[in-house]
Amino acid sequence: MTRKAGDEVNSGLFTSAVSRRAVLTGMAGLGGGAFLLRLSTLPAQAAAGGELQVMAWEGYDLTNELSDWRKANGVTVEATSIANQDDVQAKFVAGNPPPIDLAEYNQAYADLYIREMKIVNPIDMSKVPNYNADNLFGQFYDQPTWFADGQYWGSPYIWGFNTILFNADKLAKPTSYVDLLDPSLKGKIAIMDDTVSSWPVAARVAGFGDKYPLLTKDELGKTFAEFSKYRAQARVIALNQGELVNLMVSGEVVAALCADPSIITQTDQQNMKIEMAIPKEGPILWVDAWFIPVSADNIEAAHAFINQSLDPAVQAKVAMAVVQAPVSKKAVALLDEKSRSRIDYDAIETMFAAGLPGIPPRASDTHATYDDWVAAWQEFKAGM
Amino acid sequence: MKAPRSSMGSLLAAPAVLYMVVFFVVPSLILFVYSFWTAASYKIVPDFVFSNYLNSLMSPLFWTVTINAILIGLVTASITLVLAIPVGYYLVYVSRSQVILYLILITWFSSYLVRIYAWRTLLGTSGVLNTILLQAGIVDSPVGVFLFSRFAVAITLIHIYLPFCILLVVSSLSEIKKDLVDAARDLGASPLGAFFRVIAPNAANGLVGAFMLTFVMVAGDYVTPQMLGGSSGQTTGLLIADQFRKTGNWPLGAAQAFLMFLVSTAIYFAVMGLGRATGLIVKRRPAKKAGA
Repeated sequence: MTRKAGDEVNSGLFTSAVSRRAVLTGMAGLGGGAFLLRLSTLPAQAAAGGELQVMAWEGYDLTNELSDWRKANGVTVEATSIANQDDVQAKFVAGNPPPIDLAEYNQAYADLYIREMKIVNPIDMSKVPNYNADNLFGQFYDQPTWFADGQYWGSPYIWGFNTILFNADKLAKPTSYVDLLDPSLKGKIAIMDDTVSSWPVAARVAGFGDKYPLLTKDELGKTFAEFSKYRAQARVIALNQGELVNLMVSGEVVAALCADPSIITQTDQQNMKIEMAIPKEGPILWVDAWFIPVSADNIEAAHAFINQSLDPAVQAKVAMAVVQAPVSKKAVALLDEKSRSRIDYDAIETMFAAGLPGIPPRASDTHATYDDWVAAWQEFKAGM
Repeated sequence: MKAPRSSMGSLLAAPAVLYMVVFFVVPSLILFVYSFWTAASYKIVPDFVFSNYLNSLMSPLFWTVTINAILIGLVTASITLVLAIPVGYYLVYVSRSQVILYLILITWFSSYLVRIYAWRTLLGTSGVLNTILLQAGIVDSPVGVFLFSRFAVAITLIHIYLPFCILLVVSSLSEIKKDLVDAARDLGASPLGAFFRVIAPNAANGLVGAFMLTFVMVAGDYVTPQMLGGSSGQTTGLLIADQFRKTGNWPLGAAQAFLMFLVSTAIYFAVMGLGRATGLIVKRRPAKKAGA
């Protein structure tokens, strides 16, 4: 898998691919049989138990999917919802970060977390037997985004895309982000306060999609000048997915520019027919992984939780619940027909061929930095 | 007798003072130190620069949201105080009903967030207010500006802080004896004249305190503007919260918090100056000691 985004800052992770292969070859040569044997034995798994503090996106914390496992292992989970990936790293800015045992991170933040902020503990994959080539799609197994310098920094957990969501009773299916600029929709759309999805969309509608996240400051200005049309069109910048559900159900908005389809499960429960539309500019592809922060207390249970999250049955359940896709290829057979047909899993290689969006560089003489984007985003939210 | 009384006072105040020193003064000093540090992409570096202050003061974004916060704060505090004074007057000089006071305070028994969501329900395009207007034929289509606007923020904050302001006004008026009002009336003052010539000057400090406390809490609020304000409701509180929660730029957030403190202080002096210039606030002379 290649990744064009964030190359300027993330090159270190990708150049380590050769050494990774060497390590893997060595591992395979030394004990392939033993490895398979280990997968089938319980003692290799991490011992669960105790309290586990988890930070995850709304609906992705496996509250329902792992309820039996938690009871069986005496694990209590205290989950904190994140509405924006920034919610996670903001916890680690100053000293004494909270004792979070496990958190989700978007692939774009890998380098920031691992190399720059150094807030990630390596994962001992010998305690995560469900992490294996037989279970995971090749796009997620031992890929350099999560495996670098001989260490596993993250465990891919779920993937999918954010895209246009719309009220099918009130609106014809949009085919482009531009469709939402129709005058009849003024004051009827929402934009998510989620930089991971919104920034790439802003670049795409401004014609800089291919260059994102490496835009010059001039291009950044043009990007938000164009994106401000969508701001003027929007009723509100939605804080999180829960708020978007409320806005959709109450009829305040009839479409969201780019949001997580996971809200469809909740709107369905309230008899609101929300559907997703794939615009011609493309949805925002993402892969979320678990990481164990440096401040983790219950590392053993964190490993056990990661392992359980990769169980094909759990993968299928959570993928159906959040209307996204499993990283486990075994889980595909366990999906219901509607969920399975939503994505062409045979074409997964093509879907990931163009790479995944990254984040702007932290420092650069030639490109707009992450801080420049944050400042532009704040002005955008304030309607400037 | 003075020494023991003074010691007793110090002893009684000590826990509160200690609490404020540990949990307010010290954190504020730490925050003040932070405001001179630098940060880039979630990394804070100890330093001594004024760039956080200078950049904020030169930032159109900072001034846009700060002016917005001040406007929302002034409008909300003014309306809240105007609404609180008659209620306070009634409770102190007319009824003295504890039941009414409890009824006013009972709104505080509900969650802050619940009240915000209740206003969303009332002000939404398919909310109660729009439904009434539509059914009455006053409007042809739902009015969108009720929600996600300064209006929505102000009306919600007035509702939230009115009971608090009433308490402060009641406390302020309670110190003024009704005999003074009666004397003014006996001397020919109208009810309004008695209020402005007797009650207002004597309760001025308390009323200004009620106004300023309401202003400070409203202007610094970031939850209500975030949930009901839309882009027109963005305030400094929200900007500061974003610096801590999202951008990880604590030094900039700290500097902006102290700038907002200075702005609030300036507004306090402006209100006091305006009050004195209009004669509503009378500068009291210190009481002469008996026999002096």
